[in-house]
Amino acid sequence: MDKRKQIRELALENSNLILLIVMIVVGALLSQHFFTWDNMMNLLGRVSINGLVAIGFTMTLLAGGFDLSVGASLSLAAVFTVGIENSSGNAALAMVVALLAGLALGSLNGSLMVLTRGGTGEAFLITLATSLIGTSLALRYCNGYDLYGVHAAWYKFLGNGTILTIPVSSLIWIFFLVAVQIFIKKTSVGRKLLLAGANRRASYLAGINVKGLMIFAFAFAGFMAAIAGIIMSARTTAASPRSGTGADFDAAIASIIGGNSLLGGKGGMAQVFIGTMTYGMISNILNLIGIPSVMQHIVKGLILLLAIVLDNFKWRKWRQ
Amino acid sequence: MNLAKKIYSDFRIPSLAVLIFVAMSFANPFFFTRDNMYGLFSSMPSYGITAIGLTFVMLCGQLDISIGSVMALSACSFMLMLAKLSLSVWVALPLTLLLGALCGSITGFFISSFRLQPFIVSMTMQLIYRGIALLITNSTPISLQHPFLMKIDSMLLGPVPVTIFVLLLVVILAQFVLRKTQFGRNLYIIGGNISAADNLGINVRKHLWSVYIIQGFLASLAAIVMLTRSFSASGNLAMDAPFSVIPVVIVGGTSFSGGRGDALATFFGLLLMDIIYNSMSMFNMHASMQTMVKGLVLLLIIVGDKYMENRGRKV
Repeated sequence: MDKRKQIRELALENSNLILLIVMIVVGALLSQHFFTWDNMMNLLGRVSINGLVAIGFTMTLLAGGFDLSVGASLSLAAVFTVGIENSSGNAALAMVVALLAGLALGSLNGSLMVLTRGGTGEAFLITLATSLIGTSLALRYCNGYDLYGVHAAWYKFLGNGTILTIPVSSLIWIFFLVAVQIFIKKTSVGRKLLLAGANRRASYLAGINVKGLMIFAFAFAGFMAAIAGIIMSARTTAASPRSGTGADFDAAIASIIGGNSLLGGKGGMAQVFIGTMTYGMISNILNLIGIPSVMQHIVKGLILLLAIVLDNFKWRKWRQ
Repeated sequence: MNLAKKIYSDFRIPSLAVLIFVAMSFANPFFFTRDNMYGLFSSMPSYGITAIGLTFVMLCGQLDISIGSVMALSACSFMLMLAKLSLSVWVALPLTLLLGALCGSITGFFISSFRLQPFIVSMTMQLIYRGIALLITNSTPISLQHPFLMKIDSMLLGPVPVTIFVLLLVVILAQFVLRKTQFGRNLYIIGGNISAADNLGINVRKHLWSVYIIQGFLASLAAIVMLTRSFSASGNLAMDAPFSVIPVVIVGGTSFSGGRGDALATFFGLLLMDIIYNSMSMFNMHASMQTMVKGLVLLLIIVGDKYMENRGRKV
């Protein structure tokens, strides 16, 4: 009885990793090309955009919030980068503006969170509203049309280049994964952020700057979404105000499947990596099987639901 | 002075609605015309009925973002039953309402049984419901000038379409349930303090589950009402439903944390918001501008409501 319970607990704790392994096995069984270096590198390149957004999103999750506006930040960054590079010829300037836009939207979210003394519930609604505003701003900026044309070679390299056959976009992603993980686990600011997310009131009483950390987390999410937007525009050499639609969901799914907790304060970049890869593989496998995209939506929704229920079981037990 | 105070505290929203109505009638010559009034009154019922359903949910401190998707799925199913399966309206109608209740029931099950965050569960369910709607219609809209729908659309009392009376009936019934039955009273307690409700012996789980079922039922009713105007259903129907309906409920007086508000209050909120939206469209705003304004309105309402509520807290 004891042994069985132990195994069940172990399985529950590492369910995310187990799911990833299952996905790899299923994929390998479905196609002999699945687990090849080429395909994996391809996959890595594709998921890194979602992965970058997921890093920022996870930061808000860890801080005890939730960010639905990352899609809007992504769209804004993408259209600003392409638009400004086209009109001014200066890719670097365009990117700076795009990053600032992401930071601005994120900071707005964070400030409103502080104003409303909010937790996850408020975060949903606030970021929902700001995502509407952000998307309509993006629409206004390009008058509803998609923007085309990426010129600078180094800009294009960001999206499509490879170094030693590893896509540049994924190298950027891995860099941030490592950097943010070190920040969360090893610096005192990062650890305080986790504490604030786990128990806001206690952290406040302990003297932690909960408000500042909240604004930081959301601003960071906007920043990462902007980076993702820049890379996406580099990849496709185009930008659409609708680029980011659904990006918030994809990031949320990746983050939660990986094991980051909705309750705040629990998780990290390892989980983001696992979740992003798993989610990417699921999409890949669904495509391999030939499931139409409408069905894929439903399947992804069901997976998210499962992940939420599992997350609830996992962490409620711990909390009790 | 006392009268003014009373008006401010109790009749704020209805007075504001009347005020803007009168102001607009003077400001814009096209406002108080039969055509515009018809437009105003005919757009109210569908989102209005949804808003009443959402009132039940928000009263308990919960949220349901899947209202748009349930509406879309119900509308698509209804049209499918009429057009492709050639079912009689009197069969399709109850089946659709049942479907709406079923959707609400599934959402409610996950939220009430595991006490999960209502937002994220309903957000997930809305993906699924919309996906199903797109799947069964093969991503193409279904249009049908069905005689039943056309009949309802043509029934008018002056400039007022008969669907308004459906809305009023729902409002009256809902108000009765909320204010005059034990069930309704329990909802207020749950919304006010969920642990108190637990301790009082209220079966919180059952109540939470029920409000989602009511919500789903009313959403499908609203979808059918919407069809009497548009005669066309697609998987992308009512995509803006959460953004349009939540402000209505909040403006009406229900708070996100629950425990306040009722069907009548929501009705006046609906009146006010519809007059505002109608006035906005009179000023020829670009579609994306309207979305931005909607986002700003939503933001103001949310931040305002939450700020007022949490003002005293330090963090």
